[in-house]
Amino acid sequence: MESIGKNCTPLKHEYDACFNKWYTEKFLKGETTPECTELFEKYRQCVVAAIKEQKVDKMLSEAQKETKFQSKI
Amino acid sequence: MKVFRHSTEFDAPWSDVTFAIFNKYPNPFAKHVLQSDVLARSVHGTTLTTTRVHRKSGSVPAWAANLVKVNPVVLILEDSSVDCAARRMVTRTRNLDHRRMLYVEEVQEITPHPTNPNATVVTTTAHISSDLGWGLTGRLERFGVSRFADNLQRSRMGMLHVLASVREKVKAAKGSATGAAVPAPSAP
Repeated sequence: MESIGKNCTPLKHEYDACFNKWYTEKFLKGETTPECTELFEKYRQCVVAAIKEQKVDKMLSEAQKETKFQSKI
Repeated sequence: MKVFRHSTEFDAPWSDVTFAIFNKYPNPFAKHVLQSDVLARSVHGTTLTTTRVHRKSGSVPAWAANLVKVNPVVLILEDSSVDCAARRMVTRTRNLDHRRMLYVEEVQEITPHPTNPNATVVTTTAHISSDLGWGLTGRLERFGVSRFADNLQRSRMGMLHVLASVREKVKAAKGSATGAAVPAPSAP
């Protein structure tokens, strides 16, 4: 699956691979200390730049604050 | 506003189903999902919280798209939490575009089957609302509900596809000796 920022796709795949390994081998077994944080930060910065460039950054940050139907997570 | 509820089961352990949700795209039953990203992720205690955004194509009926200018591609925001101790995952997904025309918020709860450790229960609740007016609210909400019901089937096919590939990978990692212990996916 591609990233919203085309140039972020390789960073996304690298991060996803790291996350998947951590999720299955550590997190699901109760070892919850986060890993892959450096890879995530590189990937995230790339995505943040892409969503700004595509002018959807405001839409996304507003939506992250809302709870329209008070659905609880 | 209309509320739609649905419950389904997967013949797979809870941990595999949660992994499949994070790896759901791409799959051949979700060709309308074009791009996907993780926006935020953190761990608090035993809970992993994730915010993802998905970009999808076409999501309103042609007759409505002719009335109001709509984007051919739309963004979907998904928040999720996975508690590895309580063994409970919840996802909340909603559209960001053309909300006056049609707003759909879907909450899914993913829990282990109460008696079968190799099965998982997924409960879906969707709120579907339209504020468009012009006497079209009911028609749009009915469209939203019927499309939502259709999509659930496709979504299940996608999950079964991803679960099968997860199983293949697990089998490959463990070697063929334990392969027989892995149940085959059930027909949808």
